[in-house]
Amino acid sequence: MDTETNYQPEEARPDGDRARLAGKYMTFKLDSEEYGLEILKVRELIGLMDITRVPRTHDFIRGVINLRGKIIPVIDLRRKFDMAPMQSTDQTVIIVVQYAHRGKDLTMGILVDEVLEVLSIPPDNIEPPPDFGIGSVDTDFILGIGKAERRVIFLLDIGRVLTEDEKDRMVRQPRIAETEG
Amino acid sequence: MTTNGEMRLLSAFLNEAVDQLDALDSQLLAFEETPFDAVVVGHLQRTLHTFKGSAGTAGFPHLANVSHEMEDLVQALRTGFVEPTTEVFDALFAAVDLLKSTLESIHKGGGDLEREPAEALVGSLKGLCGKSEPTAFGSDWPRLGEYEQIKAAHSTSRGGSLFIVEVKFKPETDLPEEIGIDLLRQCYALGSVITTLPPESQHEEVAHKKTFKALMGTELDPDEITKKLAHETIEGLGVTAYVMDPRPKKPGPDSRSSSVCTKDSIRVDLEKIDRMVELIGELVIFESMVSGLTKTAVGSNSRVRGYFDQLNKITRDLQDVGIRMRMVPVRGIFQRMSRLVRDIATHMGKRIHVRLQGEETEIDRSMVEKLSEPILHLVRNSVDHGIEPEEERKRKGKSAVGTITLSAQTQGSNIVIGIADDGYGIDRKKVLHQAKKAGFVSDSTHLTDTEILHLVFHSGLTTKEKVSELSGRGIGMDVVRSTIESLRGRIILRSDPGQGTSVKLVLPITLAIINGMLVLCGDERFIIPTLSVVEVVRPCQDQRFSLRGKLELLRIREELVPLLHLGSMMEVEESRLLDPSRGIVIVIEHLGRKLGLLVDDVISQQQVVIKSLGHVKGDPSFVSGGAILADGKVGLILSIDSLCESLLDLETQIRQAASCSYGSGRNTEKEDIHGYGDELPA
Repeated sequence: MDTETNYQPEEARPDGDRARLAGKYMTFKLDSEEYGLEILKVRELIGLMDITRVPRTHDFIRGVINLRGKIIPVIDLRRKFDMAPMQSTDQTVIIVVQYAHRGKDLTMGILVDEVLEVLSIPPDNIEPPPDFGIGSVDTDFILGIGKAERRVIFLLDIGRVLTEDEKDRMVRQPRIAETEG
Repeated sequence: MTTNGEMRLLSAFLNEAVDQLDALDSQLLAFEETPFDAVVVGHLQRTLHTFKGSAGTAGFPHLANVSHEMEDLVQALRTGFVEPTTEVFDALFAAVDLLKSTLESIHKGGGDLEREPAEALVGSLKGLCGKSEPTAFGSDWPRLGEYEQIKAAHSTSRGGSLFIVEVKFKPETDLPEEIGIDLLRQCYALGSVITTLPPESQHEEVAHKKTFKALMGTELDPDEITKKLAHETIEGLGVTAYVMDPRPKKPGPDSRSSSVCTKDSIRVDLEKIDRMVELIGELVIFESMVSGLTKTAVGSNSRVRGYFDQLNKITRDLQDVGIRMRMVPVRGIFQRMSRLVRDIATHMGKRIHVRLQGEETEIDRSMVEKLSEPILHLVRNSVDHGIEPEEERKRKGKSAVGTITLSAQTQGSNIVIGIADDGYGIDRKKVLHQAKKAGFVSDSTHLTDTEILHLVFHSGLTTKEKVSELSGRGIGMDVVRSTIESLRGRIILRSDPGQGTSVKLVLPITLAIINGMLVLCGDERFIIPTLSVVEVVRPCQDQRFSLRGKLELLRIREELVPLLHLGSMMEVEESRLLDPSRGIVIVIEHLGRKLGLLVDDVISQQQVVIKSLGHVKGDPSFVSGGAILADGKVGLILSIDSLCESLLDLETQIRQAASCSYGSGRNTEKEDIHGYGDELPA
């Protein structure tokens, strides 16, 4: 296919190079929406297992699990995206991802409704993230929009799903006027 | 440029040299205390000699020269030719320090000791060698080293006897220089000469001092000896029988003396050991998971269960071995402290003796480094604020020399390190006064004695009017506290006014594993470090009191202990929690303060492998880490210090209210869960 094109993206992301974004993505579902994660950042998939809750952390941190002797946090992505919470089913999967944060490797699990497939998305099928205008949802964590047949897949920059502060501390702001028992 | 081979030689030298110099310090200290112990001096001389050789081979001639001079000086001390004064030892210690700092700079890429300072040091050591006027002339001579003992035993076994021959020359005579050699020659003709005073290497001194002594083994009898040695210049000649101390000929390699380790050992990269211990940790986890699952599946098939029991035992033994590989004796820290005390005490004009107990007790390597600061600080406190000056001690009827005792012992799966002194003790009034002045404590607060004592751990608190170079800035105790906390340990402070102070640091032997009490709140499990558990109680309703419907207290014997509902603190779903009146209370202790944690049930006591939770922790946290439980799930380890801190203000309120509110005593229904904790140090 002819990759040379005259198409100029309306708003160039500083690092939004379509050719660079092309590649393999692990796609999954949250409700009826589809998302994709760069395959290189995906370490493994595990079925839903007992998650140990850690008190006083962000709502979207479900807790921690034992991954072959290492303890990693599990993020509830529905919660993070402010979607209605849902009961886990036997389709629910934890995608274990790993990426670099401040020079160290951060491993964490992401709770998703259903895992779909590994999709190869060519550069042509990638569009820059939509700009909803100033003051609206921050779409920093979206690398771009992938298209496959008639499906629309939001390609996530997993390194940005959590804010820097959240990654550093994984804590929520202490609630004021909380009294101890 | 150095070649690969040279680099290896250099690093081998550096590695060994560090150990040797450390040993030197403690050997010198021992030598200072007992200059007449042949075993002690033997070790010292051997170390100096080895160091000299290595330094020379590695290409550092100045270092070698300095240690050669030290060797000579030590020899002179040993034979009584030089009196063991503080000045002499100060010089030796200073020499060791210089060697150490040179080594450090070599490590950083620098070179050998510079010629000038080296020659200056050599000169001063030489000076000390020849300087003193040993009027007693080695009153404790002869002191037999290994070699001399063997020689002596040899000659007696061949039928000879040991005699001390003492020759005094007429004071007016002018003796030729060679008189020493002549005498020696004559003695050799009579038998075997074991040792002389002055030593052979300094035979010229015979002409100057006009006296000579020799320990000989000979078959002749005293009369014959006297006849053979007679000379007109001799004023007095004495021959006395000598009985050798029945001492073992060779001090065995496991003799109890501070020395370079003589066990067989090899050097291994720490990384390799860490990796191995990590893998063993995972093996333990999986072994118990597999074992647990299989046991249920297999039912009563005794053979398989038998095999699993075996497997379990082997895995645990392996884990033990792995942990112990990383352990080192606390001796290193303790001996550094001895040296430190010596230096500071002399500086301050105090006389202090450091007593070491249990220095062979072992602790995880990573903890050793973290512990040196707190121990250092506590020891400095004892020297600075604890032990009184000699005069004052005498006035009080105490021994002139103060004692600081450093002890270490294992207690179950903990190690208890003690730093105690027999000095002033902590002045409660002063502490309280300073605390009030600094604003930590309000005037109306009533504190127990223990609580006042533990105020010293607040940063910014100091009862020293002047800030000395060493301590008094009020930061130290706080650092001690936070370091011990970070090591998941506990501090117990006791002090008798006028008698002394004792600080005990209770620490887990290893940071990788913790002894924990697994408790249940609702359907969630938490781990309480057993190190902090004081007792477990199943209280009756009449032991519980509430304050304004919010704060709860538990009466245990005569104490009122604040109560926390662990379930609510950890935000466990209310509906799942047991009725509070039916729970169990785990009483924990932290820095002298007690706290009761109300839980639904105690599941078990087990050793768990600690795993980092990484960045995941709540705010405020109350969780200090994670652990993999036997069923493979993650358990949260509670942070005792943060739980206790959340009570700080609450307690004051409770105490004020409680002092007028509770009634007469009732009985406790106590359920002691067997084996939950190790015996607390007294």
